[in-house]
Amino acid sequence: MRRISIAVSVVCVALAVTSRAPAGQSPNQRQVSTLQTINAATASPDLLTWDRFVTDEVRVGSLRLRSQTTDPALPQRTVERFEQRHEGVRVWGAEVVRDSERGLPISIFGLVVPELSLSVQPSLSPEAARQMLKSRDGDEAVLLSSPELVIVGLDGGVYQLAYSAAVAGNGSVSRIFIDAYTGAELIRYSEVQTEGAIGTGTGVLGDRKKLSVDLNGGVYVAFDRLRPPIIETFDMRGNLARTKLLERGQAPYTVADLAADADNIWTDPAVVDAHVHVSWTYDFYFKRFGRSGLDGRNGPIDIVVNGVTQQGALALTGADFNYAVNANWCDVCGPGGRGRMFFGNGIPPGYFMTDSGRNYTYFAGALDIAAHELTHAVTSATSHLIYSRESGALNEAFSDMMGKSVEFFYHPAGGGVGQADYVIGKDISRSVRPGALNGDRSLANPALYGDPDHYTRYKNWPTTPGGDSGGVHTNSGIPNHVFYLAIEGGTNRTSGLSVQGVGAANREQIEKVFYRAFTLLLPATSTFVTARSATIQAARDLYGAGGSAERAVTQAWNAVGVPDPTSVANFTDTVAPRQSRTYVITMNGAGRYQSLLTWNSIVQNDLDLYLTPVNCSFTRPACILDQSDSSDAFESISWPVRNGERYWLTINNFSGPAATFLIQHFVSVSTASTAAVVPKVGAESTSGESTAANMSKSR
Amino acid sequence: MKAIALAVFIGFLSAPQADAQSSLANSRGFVSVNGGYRVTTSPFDQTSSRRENAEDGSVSATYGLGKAATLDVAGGARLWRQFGLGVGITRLSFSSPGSVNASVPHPIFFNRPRSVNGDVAGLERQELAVHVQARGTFPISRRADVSVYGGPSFFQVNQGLITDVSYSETYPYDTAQFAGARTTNANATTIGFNVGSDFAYFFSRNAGIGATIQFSRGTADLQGGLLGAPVRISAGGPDVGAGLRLRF
Repeated sequence: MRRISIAVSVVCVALAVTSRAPAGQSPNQRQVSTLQTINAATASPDLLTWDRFVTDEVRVGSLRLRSQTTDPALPQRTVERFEQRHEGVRVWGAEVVRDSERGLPISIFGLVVPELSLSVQPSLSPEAARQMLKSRDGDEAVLLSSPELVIVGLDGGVYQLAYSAAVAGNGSVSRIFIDAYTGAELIRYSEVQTEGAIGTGTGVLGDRKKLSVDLNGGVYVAFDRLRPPIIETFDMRGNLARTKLLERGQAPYTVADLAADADNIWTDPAVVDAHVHVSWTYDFYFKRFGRSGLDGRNGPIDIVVNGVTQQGALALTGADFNYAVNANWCDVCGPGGRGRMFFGNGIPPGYFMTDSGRNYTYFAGALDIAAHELTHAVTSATSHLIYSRESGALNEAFSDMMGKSVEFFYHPAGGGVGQADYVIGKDISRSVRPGALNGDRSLANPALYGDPDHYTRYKNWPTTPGGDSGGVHTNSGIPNHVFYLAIEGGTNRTSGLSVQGVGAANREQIEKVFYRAFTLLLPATSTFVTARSATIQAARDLYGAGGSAERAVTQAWNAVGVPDPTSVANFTDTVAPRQSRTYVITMNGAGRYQSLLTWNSIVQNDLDLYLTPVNCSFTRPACILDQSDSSDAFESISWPVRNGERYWLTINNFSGPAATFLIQHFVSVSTASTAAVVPKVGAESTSGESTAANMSKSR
Repeated sequence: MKAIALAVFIGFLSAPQADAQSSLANSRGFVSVNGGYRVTTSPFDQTSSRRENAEDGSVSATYGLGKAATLDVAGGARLWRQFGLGVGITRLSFSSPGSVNASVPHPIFFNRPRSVNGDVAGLERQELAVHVQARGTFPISRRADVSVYGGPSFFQVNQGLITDVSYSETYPYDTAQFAGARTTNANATTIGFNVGSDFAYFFSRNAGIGATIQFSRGTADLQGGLLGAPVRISAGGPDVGAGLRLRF
């Protein structure tokens, strides 16, 4: 095939040169010859000459018809494939292909060996050749084809009479050619195109896995050949400087960066699990949802591992520590900004993080973490949930949900290492300090890890890195718990509300409901209320209104205190440039007051939201109970309240022209009797009690 | 063969009157030509394993029963009293159904083999057997006799063999579809045995008709079977036949 390719690419006809074999060789046992290339495309002046050549050679038996095919795309055409024979013996790989229409040649391509004078009388009998071929690959080798006497081309244009057969042995299948006179092996090549692309390796947990790899220059590299997209794993070999260089796109990946293994039995657990777990996640999305890759278009997936060794992690300071004790997906990182997945190697055994009391080993070893991070890429390509406050918590939660879904897809259910449960990262995050927990978060019991399991426990952290972008990793506990309850059922520990889940056997339903809602229905600035509506709608879409899926999802959102949007009050107003408007809010229930501010021109304006006691201005920092003054496209606040309490809610137009805004707010309660109550917007002036006409207060 | 048949036919026509006093056991030799039927052929199967997708897989081939017409020609001479020595040749050809069943390892996962099954047609068996027979011939009436015989048989077998299975697969590779089987023809020779009995009824002094029941058996190793491994098959089998009889 390679020779034919060469033949097609070279537009020339080489002159035949025949010479005798070197001294010491029997003159009729070897021959040096130059290949003759035939390249006669349409309208070539040589076309008719080569057509006559083919016809003449067929007549004398030097070319023998091997196949005759009709191209479905061009049914009027006939493609004949001829193989060269010398005194009846096949010349290996020497072929001519003639495409014709109604007997008229359209093109002729090929490669033949001219003027062969080799003897075709071998010294070895076919039976002797069989035994010698078999002996080439071990005692248990078998011949998959009978020995065939052929003329084979060797390096240097040497042609020789040989026996050839496909031999299976030593774990592979090879086409072997032996000298037809001495039995010495002349050449061999693999008969199995895919075998070399399947490696085996041992993961972080000591489990054996298959890897889809590629053979490149005699070395196996972590380049997936089985799946539609490019999935490749780069091994930084502890070079943090190069890791950063590549992350910033300041240098291209090279073949030398690819993780490699000489014998295709991979022993680096970081490489094995990163390559396999990312691939499995791709498979899950395809099999479960029919999704073609992270971006839906089978875009490439670049994986980076071994940025820092475990021992090297001990010397890291500051943010660099994230290269050891973290895994992340970055949408715009890597050469060309096409995104990359990074897995840290963790820290040495015996060491632990002082805040959690846990040791972290290779992050790639946790399938749920790999799937979690890759799901961020799915979110980026779909709903693009803004990574701040509630939408950020939804972003994190969806990654947790899919992380656990992938784990349940591949692993047996159970609480042990390598088993599927609802704890994030337990396979690589293990307690060392007494009392510490394995894993980072729990969907089944978020409170166990300090995360809220109910909307009234929402953590209104600042939208800073120190505040976890508004508590995205902790508040994810609320929608996470919805996902868990909708599948497994159970009772929310805060509200006491029970949920009838669809059951573990039907987890696929809830996975599809949340996938549909989070990838198709949710807008980027979604709140938990929006997520509630979207997931219920998705349940109706997929499994019918009033079905068990809708019931489970609805009950689960009720259980965590996220209200039906019909329980959410809203009002709209305008605010002048550099001015603010303040409203008196009367709470009609006990629980947690939630308020969301959006406005008409997110490009031109930056509006902020404040909650203060009545008659206490937001301009006095001591008055501020909760505030939201991020640069996001929305602001939200959350504050525990009691029935009948009154507050000031202030919208401040920090910059930009006059803006029209919308407030959506409610009181989420943690009782079983009702999911939410509607707060009352008081018609009171902030500067004078009971002045109904003046609802605003200028700063 | 045609010449023998013609001679038998001419002899039959030219000697319509049987010699009632002649003894069949006194004849010096005989020739018989039978058209027959191989009552049953011996099915056989073969299983081979190979490393594929970094895991051991297996391929099994099963060759079913075939029905075969036989042509049997025998001749011999009386050596002492009613005992003699004969040589028979049996030739048959038939096509037997075959099937192949492969367990193909998954390229992505351990222990999730895909099953690939398919039928294979056109597996021809050609068998040529030369039977050396020690015979005893016993008259049961003036016109009829019964012979029993037995001895070594020399078999030459040509058998169509399945060498490998082809399949197609696409991502995510959870199934594989049978695409075809690769076949080859293999030859082998072997030695076995034969036993049988022949009943003959003569219309004339030299010619008659008869029926034979015979069993022969040999075991041969054919090279180049599934994945190149040898496969052991049985040659011969139970034959019944009927045809012309000549004596001299």
